Amino acid sequence: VYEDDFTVTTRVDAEAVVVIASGEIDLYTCAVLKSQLWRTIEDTTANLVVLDASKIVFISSGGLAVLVTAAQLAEQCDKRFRVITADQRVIPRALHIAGLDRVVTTCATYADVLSAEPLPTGAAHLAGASWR
Amino acid sequence: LQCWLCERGWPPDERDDVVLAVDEAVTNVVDHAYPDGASGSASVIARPVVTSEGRTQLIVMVTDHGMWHAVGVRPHRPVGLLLMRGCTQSVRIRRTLAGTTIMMASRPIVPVPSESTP
Repeated sequence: VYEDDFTVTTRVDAEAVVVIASGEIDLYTCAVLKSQLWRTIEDTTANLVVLDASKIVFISSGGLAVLVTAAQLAEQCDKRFRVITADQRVIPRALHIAGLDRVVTTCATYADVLSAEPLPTGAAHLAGASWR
Repeated sequence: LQCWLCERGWPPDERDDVVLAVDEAVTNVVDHAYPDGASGSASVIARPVVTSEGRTQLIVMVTDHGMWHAVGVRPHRPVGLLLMRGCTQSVRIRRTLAGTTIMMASRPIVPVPSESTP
């Protein structure tokens, strides 16, 4: 049974802003994801933006383009962008085939994201305070 | 397509790759074959064939009847072609005045017993 519905929500944590997406990132849904990621990366003062894509079941080239440009936008804004993937099948595989696995950093769990990226003191406080 | 492949014993990873390759081929049509805002059609024909080694291979043809934009190719399109090539054994693109056909051959597989849920 395949889940076709695409949903995207945002959660503010002490350490990061987490955009949670589920379903398929295809030609049509990638625009929704893009606008949500853009707004998040530009508006937040947290320096870590995480896309929790562990419930993504499909991604096409348009979706990969969104991930790559989100990583670039985050870099311009002095922020880090990380993607959580449940397994190696969907997003890591597509990134690898396209030769983009060095551009977009993926982690298996949220704990991995945080342990790999210790944040400066004070960032957590700022992240929660300024997010609308 | 996922279900169709599942019923024919396609292993999960290979199924994902075929679906992604076909999606990219159809996306190419949507992006390039017809002027923005115009409606057009594309046909997808898929046929499993048995190779000389006794494996099964899917031949997929995605055809449109439009003119590909000669210029203004979007930046992520080369990625689409990379994905098509990476997910299949071969990709051939034939452009004529009447339209474009993308022909792909999946990697040959050994069918596995069909699962109850994909």
